[in-house]
Amino acid sequence: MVAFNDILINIIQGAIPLAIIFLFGCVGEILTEKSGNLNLGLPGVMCFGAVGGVLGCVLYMKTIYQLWPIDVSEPVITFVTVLSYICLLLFAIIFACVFGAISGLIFSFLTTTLKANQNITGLALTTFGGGFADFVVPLITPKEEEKALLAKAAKILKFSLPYDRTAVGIWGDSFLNQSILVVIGFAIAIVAFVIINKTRVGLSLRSVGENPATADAAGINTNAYRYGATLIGCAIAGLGGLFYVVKINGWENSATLQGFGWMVLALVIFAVWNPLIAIVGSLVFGALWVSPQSGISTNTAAGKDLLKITPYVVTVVVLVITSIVGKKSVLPPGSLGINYFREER
Amino acid sequence: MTEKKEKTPLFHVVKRSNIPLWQSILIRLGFVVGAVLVGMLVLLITRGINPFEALYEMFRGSFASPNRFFNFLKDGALLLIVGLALVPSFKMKFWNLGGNGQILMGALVTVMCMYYLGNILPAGYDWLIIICMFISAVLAGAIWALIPALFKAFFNTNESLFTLMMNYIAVGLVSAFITVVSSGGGSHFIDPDMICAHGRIPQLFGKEATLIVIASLIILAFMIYYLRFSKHGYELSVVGESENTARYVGINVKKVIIRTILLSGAICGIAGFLISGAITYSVTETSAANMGFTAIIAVWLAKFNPFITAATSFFVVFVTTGMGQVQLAFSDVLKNNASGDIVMGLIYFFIIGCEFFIEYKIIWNKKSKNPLENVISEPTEAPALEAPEPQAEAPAKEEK
Repeated sequence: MVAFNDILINIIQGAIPLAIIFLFGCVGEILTEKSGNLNLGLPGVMCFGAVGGVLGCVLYMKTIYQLWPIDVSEPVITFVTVLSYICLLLFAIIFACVFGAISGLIFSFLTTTLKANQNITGLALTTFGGGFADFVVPLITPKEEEKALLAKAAKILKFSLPYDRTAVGIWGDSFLNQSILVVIGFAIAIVAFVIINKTRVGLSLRSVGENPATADAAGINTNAYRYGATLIGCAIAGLGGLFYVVKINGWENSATLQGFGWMVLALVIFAVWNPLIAIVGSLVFGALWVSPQSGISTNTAAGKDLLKITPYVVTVVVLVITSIVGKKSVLPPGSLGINYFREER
Repeated sequence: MTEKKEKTPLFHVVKRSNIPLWQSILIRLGFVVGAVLVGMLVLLITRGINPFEALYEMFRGSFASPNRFFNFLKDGALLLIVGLALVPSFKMKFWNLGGNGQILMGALVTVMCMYYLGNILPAGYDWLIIICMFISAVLAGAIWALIPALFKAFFNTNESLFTLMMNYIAVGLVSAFITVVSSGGGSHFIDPDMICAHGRIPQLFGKEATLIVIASLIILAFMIYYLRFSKHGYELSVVGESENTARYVGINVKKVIIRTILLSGAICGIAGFLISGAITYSVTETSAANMGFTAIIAVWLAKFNPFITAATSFFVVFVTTGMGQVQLAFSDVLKNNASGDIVMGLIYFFIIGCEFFIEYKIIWNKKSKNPLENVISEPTEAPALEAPEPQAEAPAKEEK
């Protein structure tokens, strides 16, 4: 019999890394959707980000790591190792963001400039992104040697900030023993919330998403906002792909990550387009995702399968309730999924 | 008074009034061929594969042997059925992304009928089981589509997100059913001989493809009639063009939405019925083979025209099987089937991008001293648009 405490700790430890993948994707997608772009290509965007992450990690391992190595099993904090660690962080994050943004650029160019249908473009980007990742990652890591390097980089990226392990106990440990990317994820969510809801730029962004014609009349450059929000959003979502690589210490194929990407699209609805609720939501979804594997016994064998679909059922319920309530603060952006062409009124 | 310098933008974009169908098809065809060529180029640069050999293998994928050709017919006809299911809903601008889920539900209840009824009924009642399979598959697909449609009609719930979620719920239900049925050995798999021994749809002329092709032709004929000659078809296209117009002329928009989506889901259910009842005699989480999404693209390529959907569906299947064959032939350098996804993705991007040149025209602004003159002397006909360059470059860049 597994103790209840152990199950809970298992869930927390498994849920937080997943939650961060969801959270990066979700915050990025919220930012994108707030501008009125419904990017169904998010699974593809995250795959792009993963490719960037892999590339960044391998580049770091082949250059800087050779100069300033870090002992993976027994890390010592010295000036050189910290510097090396920061370099790895920068390499991984910048490459993941740039690759994510490139996919966002494809999406924006097709939908905003060429006025293509957003649903179709998104589906195409998902197909392309998955293929791109499965095609390019083996090119970057062709041999076992590179794969080992990548796994090492992933292990280094998993390091937590230093803390006193004996003082916090097993509960504190399960929360604190997380990569610095987790902290960055939470920080980005909070910053995104503040920017969207409390700043002038955020106000303009929301107005573009709600009613681009009105925003255009008010002198806001709608195209610039849609491009900007989508590019930044996809860059953030790309970090989700990076964290996936870190979590599984490498790359197998795009299927799982794409599954996460669709989950993120559900999460955006669940969070009613609010990055702060997304933090809670991502933890809940992460817990729901891992709980079938964490030792919870259900009455029937099929119970685990049904547990897996709870996030989607909950999302549907949220979607329905919000549309019935019809309050502006919980509804999708007014022009979500619709392109804006000035001459078409 | 200082003269303000007015900057004329290089060009501006206006909507085209109309373009002949053959011309638009020609533009699209050009882009598709371009996309395939770019894909081949990618393979050449990154993996050193001879494009001509790759193209040859691509044709071999569907036409090398009679068996392959029948498989090609079968897959193409299945995709056509799903595409035809989506045509009315897309024509109504209802973004039914739930094709996968609707197919899967049809397949699921088909297998359930085979399993449970097959256990109850004595041998020799296969025809009864098949009738039950058909009816329940149609109902299951229709209901799976009806749920989002109801909420769309009454509360304006976002249908693309809703139908997307329904896909995953269907996957979960299938997964749960498989676990229940196969719980004995701890395996997660439906054995066709154990579970689906009864109620198999007989093959016509010894080929799976025959029945599927006939079914797709019947549905194609029905859909052409429905969209072009029936009042329903007219009403749904009015709703798609403008909901307000529809309301003003006295069309009951809610009724039209629900009716159309019921039809859409029902045909998806039939696709599921055919997959499970006539081909695999089984159901898995991936029974729908992502056709719900692929068909969207096929329908989009065909501009919601059922006739052209037939051509595009077979084309999509041709490319997919072709790329599978390319991967087999060059398996020493292509470790997985990702190149197929890349080529498909490129084709999608090219097609999506070329819509712009079909629907809009670019008017290059002539340089002139008087900015007002530009507006007056606007050319009435568009300059020849052979401008695939902008988006021809965009996807290609990512390859490097």
